[in-house]
Amino acid sequence: MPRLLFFGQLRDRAGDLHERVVAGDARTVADVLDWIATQDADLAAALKVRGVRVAVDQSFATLEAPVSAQSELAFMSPLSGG
Amino acid sequence: MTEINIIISHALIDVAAELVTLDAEACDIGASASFVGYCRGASATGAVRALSLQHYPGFTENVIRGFAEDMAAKHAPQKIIIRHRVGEILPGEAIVLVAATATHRAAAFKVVETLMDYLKSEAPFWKQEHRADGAHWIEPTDEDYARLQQRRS
Repeated sequence: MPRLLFFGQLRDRAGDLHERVVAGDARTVADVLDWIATQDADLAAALKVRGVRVAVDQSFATLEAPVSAQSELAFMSPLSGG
Repeated sequence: MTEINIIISHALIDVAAELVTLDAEACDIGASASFVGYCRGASATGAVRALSLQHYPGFTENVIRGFAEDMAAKHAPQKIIIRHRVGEILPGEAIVLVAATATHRAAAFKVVETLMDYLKSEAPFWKQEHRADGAHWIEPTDEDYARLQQRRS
């Protein structure tokens, strides 16, 4: 099952969903978002705001991107820069 | 071929040692340029006790390397070094060092400036300011988004 990571302010909001493994049969990023919505609707809404980006296995991805059981999904808050 | 050396770390940056090493290892260059960014004790919103910088290990380095490789392809510097702190950073401490060596100064200056613009705006870091009233995440403003749009068009 894919593993979730959150960065920036999203990590504060994600709470114990950070580093959690997704339950069920998610095949795309969109499926993972649907699952997150069942766990925390507010967080799921926050993942759709401007500037939030997602990476699958350390490559930027779209909602249609496939995920596997071994995937690592990172949801990134808008970048602050260094 | 350009040598690109990137370290993202919690450790303090020894700016002097890094620059001495960079120049000592350079061969037949005409120029060396560098920039150091420091943690300030105040921002537009008041006194800053500390910064916290978060990154995505592996991903952040790879994304920065991709941009540095683009710079190398365009300007052919001999070497690029990037040192970036993460974790807690106190006022007065160096957050970032970018330096480049090249045959001519134009390339060295351009690489350093462009990399710094990139690191400040697009590199995958997330920053919190710690002030008297608590921790505050720094997020892009509407102006930042507009400037980014301009740079990409």
